[in-house]
Amino acid sequence: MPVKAVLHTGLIQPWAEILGDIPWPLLPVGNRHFLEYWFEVCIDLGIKDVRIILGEGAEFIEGYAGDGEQWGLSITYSFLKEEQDPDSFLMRNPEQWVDGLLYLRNPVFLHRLAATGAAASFSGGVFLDRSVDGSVNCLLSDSPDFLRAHIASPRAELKGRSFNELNLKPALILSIRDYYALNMSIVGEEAPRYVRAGYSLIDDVSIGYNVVIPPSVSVTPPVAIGNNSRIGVMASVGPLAVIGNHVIIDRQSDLSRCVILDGTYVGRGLEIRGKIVAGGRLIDPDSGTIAEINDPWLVAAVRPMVRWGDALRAVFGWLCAMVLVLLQAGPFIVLYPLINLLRKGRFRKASFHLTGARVGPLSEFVPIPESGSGISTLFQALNLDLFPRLCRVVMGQLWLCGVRPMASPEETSLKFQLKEYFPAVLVYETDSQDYAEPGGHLAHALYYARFRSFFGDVKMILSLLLNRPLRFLSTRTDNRG
Amino acid sequence: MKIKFEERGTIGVVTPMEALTAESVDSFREQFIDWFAGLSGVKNVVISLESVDFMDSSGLGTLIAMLKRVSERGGDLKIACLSKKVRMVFEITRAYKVFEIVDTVDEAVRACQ
Repeated sequence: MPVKAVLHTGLIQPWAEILGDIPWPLLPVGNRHFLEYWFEVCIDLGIKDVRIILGEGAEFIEGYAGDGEQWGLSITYSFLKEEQDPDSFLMRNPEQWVDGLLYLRNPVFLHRLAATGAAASFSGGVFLDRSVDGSVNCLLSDSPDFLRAHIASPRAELKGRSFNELNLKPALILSIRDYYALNMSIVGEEAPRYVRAGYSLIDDVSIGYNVVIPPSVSVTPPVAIGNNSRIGVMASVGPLAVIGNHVIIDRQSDLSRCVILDGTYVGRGLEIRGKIVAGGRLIDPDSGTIAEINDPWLVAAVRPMVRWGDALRAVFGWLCAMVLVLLQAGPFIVLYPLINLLRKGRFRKASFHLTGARVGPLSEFVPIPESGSGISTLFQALNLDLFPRLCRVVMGQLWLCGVRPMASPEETSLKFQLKEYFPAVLVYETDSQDYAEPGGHLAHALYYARFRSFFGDVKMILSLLLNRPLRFLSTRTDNRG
Repeated sequence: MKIKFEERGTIGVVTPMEALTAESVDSFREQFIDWFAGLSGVKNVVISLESVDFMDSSGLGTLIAMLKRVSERGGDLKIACLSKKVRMVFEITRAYKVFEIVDTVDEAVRACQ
């Protein structure tokens, strides 16, 4: 039976959270992602079946690794919840792993001790590396007895040989300093041991695809530059610089002994030495000091392009809201004072996150009694309960179609998990009920952010104009019945 | 909508046989509620999505609503056998933090026991 690999990628690493939104397995190490080095170990050991255990950043990891064809691997995926013990995954179906297993549990980098990579012959052996807390960093064995014993009791003091015998030296990354040192080591003396197809490190320089480097730029090896990056005139890069993908370095800047993560802009005439730059964040790896800068004159996150679809949705939504406000203004001015006078309903205010970074009160209509009365039902059937929120759309504080606004401060932590947030007046009614739980609310907001479309918004508006009035009127009829 | 309901002791296994979309979820929800209400002995539920090749926001919302219903009875709901497209929905929405997702129905049943 072939040996299989189980790679844990979802465990949250506090040191990596400081570096921004990039999941730690996709952080750059030299001229590639961390995860690719793990794949390389699998290839060297002749392992083709790879199971990636997903957690935080699952979408990005699967998006990067895919089915593994690029590396000649067959990659499948499983999930593990944050609160579950990582070792419990192997216990779910132990027998599928006992014929042979490479188990990478913690963020451990397996340094090659020779350019030829790992020795493929490990038959009958048990190779084990543990961290100080007793958990396994990495394990390789094809001994069924050992694997059964280990899976049943992962913390048991089972002995194994050192990975050094396979020409691999495990190094656990526990801090920013470890991560920085790893990069400096890889881009410096170790780079030639990890040369990949299409690259030659004869000059100690690795440059990705679609990189713009004017002739006046000074590149001092060793240097690794990712894909789709741009370096301004008269800039100086290196020695010992790791530059990720989609990085822009403006003119006359000077970078050495540094790691610039994906999607970072480095401003004009800056000198960066011995630092990690992650978007608008400057990190000193030795002291762990973080400076939040995010200034387009200094360092900042590269801003994504404006999506034309969103511009269209915004204009269309605003026009529709404007028309609705103009149509509703008259009936609202007549009916609402009447409802107030008869005490048949009122607007309740609560604080919500609006568009941008705004937080403000939004009105919600509450009929009295809750089952509704004739006049309050008519008020809702005419969508007049939405009038104050439609005014907010006209003022640019809400979208017309999107997701239920998140309450402040109750759902503030959820809001900050969203890169794109579309608080709106109109949401799918059934969805908003099903997604009432906080985790569900986040799921809905993420779903809408990914799959939003102009057509979907039109459907929501039609639902507002046709279904909502009918629903209120039918509810009223049912109550009477 | 066709759904296969199965009981394995105190564990119920529910297998919807088609895509979970806005058009089909109402039927799925109603059949599930009727079945679950009629089986007071069933505490834990496994939803097998092996025949579900597509799921939209309504489908995911329905699963979240089912999770709530099962949790109210003191049980647990596990999801098994995700296809690639459905897995992507769980990844994009981070619903893997809400549900326990396992590879096979047998693994889910074993975990519930």
